[in-house]
Amino acid sequence: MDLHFFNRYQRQMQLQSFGIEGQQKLAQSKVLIVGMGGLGCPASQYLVGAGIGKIGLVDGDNIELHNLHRQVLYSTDEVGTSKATVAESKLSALNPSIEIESFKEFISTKNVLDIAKDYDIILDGSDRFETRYLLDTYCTLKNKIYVYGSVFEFEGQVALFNYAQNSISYNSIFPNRPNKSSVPTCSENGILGFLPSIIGSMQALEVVKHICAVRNTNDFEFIHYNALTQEIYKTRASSNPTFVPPKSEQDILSFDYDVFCG
Amino acid sequence: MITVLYFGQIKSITSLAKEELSPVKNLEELKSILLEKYPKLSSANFVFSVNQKITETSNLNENDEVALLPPFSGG
Repeated sequence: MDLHFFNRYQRQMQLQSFGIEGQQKLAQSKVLIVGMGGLGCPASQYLVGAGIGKIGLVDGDNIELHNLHRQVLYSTDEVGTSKATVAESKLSALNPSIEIESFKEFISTKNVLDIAKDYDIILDGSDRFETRYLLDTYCTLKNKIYVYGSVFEFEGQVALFNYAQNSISYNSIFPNRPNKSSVPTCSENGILGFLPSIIGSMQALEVVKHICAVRNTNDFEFIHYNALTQEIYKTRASSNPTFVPPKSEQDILSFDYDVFCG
Repeated sequence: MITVLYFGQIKSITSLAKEELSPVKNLEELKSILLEKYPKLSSANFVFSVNQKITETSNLNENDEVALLPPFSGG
């Protein structure tokens, strides 16, 4: 191990349950972050800082002024430029030893197989149900881990799906696809910057805990966080016997998620 | 009594985060009581979590805790 590597990661390697082995596991891991907004920014910053070997960033959006209260990775003079491109440049500066690739596009049935191919873990920083169902379906088919995170007003949710032997998927927990009009988005309902930052950091934490095998349980846990009361509600689940997992790539390619989610 | 917890969009419908209800036999019975009390729940998307476990069916007993958990989409 070279001195630079040791110096950079020494504070986390000092943790007994983490050590050099944990650091090496991180360096061998590949995480794709879909959506570089309120969740994806903090998640990517901490994962790059922690030393994940390869990180992919997916976002077709440009930075907007009303993003900056919560997406503090970006600067005012970058408004109008690509989130994926700016994030790649800033995260490379934070940790040049990480392999980072950026995709200036939105994930869809047309590109998911290609974009996510190299990655073991898919972290969902999106703000659309269509993307959530698509990523979970993809992860179920490919036996990859789907890291769910989402926010609503002062509340947030986090869960690792398709985790280890546990076959629980987002699709099986929420089999009734929400109608878009029934669930308001951040742009409709408003959001404080702190909440997605906490939830995105929790997603990154769950990723690192999984990779380094320091989770306190092997059971599936769905975490609900309330920022107003600072309360956490955790719930478990069993496999849904009625859930039919995808069988082939064709199941993903032929699916119209926009119609599916109303 | 049974404690019922409401999260996210469900809390917007019920206008409260938590309430105590008289014991009922099972989740199905609880659901019909809640739908009568809060008609807007019929078009809401949520799953039940009984004593911190997501489930579709369950008998209910005194002191059980039931949460109505909606999926969020914001990010």
